[in-house]
Amino acid sequence: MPAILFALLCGAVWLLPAHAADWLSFDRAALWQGQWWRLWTCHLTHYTLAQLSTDASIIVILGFVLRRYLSALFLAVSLLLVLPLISGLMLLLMPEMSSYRGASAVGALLWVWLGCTLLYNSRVFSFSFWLGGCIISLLATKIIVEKWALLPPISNLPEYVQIAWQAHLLGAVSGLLLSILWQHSHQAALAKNRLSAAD
Amino acid sequence: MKTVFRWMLMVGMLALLSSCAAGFWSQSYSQREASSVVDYLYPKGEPVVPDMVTHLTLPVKVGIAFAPEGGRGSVLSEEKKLELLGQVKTVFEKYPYIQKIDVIPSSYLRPGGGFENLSQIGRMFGVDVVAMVSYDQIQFDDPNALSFLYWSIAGAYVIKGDQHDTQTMVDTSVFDINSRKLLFRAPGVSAIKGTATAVAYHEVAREARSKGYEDAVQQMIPNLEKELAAFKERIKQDESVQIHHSEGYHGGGSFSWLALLMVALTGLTLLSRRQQSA
Repeated sequence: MPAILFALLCGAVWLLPAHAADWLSFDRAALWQGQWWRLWTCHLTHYTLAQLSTDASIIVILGFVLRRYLSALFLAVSLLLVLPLISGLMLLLMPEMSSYRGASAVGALLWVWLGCTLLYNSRVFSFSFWLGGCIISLLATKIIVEKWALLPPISNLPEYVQIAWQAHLLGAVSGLLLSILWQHSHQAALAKNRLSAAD
Repeated sequence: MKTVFRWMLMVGMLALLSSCAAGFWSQSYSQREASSVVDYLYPKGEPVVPDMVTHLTLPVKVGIAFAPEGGRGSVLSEEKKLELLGQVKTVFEKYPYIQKIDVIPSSYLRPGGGFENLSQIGRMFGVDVVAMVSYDQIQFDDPNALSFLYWSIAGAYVIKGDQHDTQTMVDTSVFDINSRKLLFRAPGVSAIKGTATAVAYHEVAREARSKGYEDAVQQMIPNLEKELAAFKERIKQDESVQIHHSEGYHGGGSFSWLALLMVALTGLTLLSRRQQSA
């Protein structure tokens, strides 16, 4: 549910007038001037309708699949905490990038989260296990190809925009950490339930 | 004797009138004015383009200028040239990967200045790419059948016995200054025909020439937009043009349609397996 809401918010921001979206996007100078809301809202802004369509669709699909494995509250809180962390790291680690738009960091986060969840919840070498490994490998390949420009860029970004592979990497790492955190807290909750049931 | 004198007076007056009217009688003629990018950039003859990779740093800084005319001046005043260049500028303005567009006045371009002059302009205005607008206009003037009425003085004022035909071609060639490579070009043409009285001919012809330029530039603008779009696609495959991003670049995160397809297939697979197990 939070993922679908996030995708809907992306669509709503797209419908806003252009100057309103400018107030929400990642703008290095504006962020340093104290417009900190951009750390959250930059992930809702997009350059093109095609970019919005692919990002939002991927988030909706991954969110729909993940809903079985995750609590909606955990996902919502995670997104609220992790999104500014990703933007903040981009602000600190990518000084040459003046602006950023796109929800693909969230897409990468959910992508890895799904992959890890499949790996955790399936028997070793089962179909789900291979599928989990496969989708994580695909994302890793995408990031490597983008980093070293091994192939001509395949994206829905305008020509003047450079693919921020770092955002995908930060999203993927966040997804990995969140999946571990969820798994541990989930396991702990299950164990607690078992103990209370035994008592 | 008196009758003979009258006849002689009439013939004499007629001869005087006709000599006056002969001033309006014109033969067919044409006049041409042109400015050539080739003459400006390659004054020594054969164009030599160094075989090097073109590095375009985005966002691009563009200069727009008229190629200088070699010989006599043009009907185009500097003010008119700047106005027409302003129209060409609007084509480039709408693209966010173009950082700035400077209109370069004609006085900065030296006839036959070559790429040395272009490099100076590039440094002076801080531009990497220059769009050179050149033109070639020829105007023909032919007296039509009514022009025999110019023999009467009044005819030269009221009879439209001169017809003009103005053919204009303008062309915008976009060059990368550093690699001296022609990136793309777009032409525009116009043809204007009209008639005028002998007295008003020069004014009408001048207006037609000026309008010829306006029409040709208007016709060139959509061609320029088309060529710019085609160039954007072409450089994706062309290995001789490499795109770089300057500091302060715009970043974006995006998945491709292929990634969306893979995620959709993964989602469908998981859902179908879940239904089977249920």
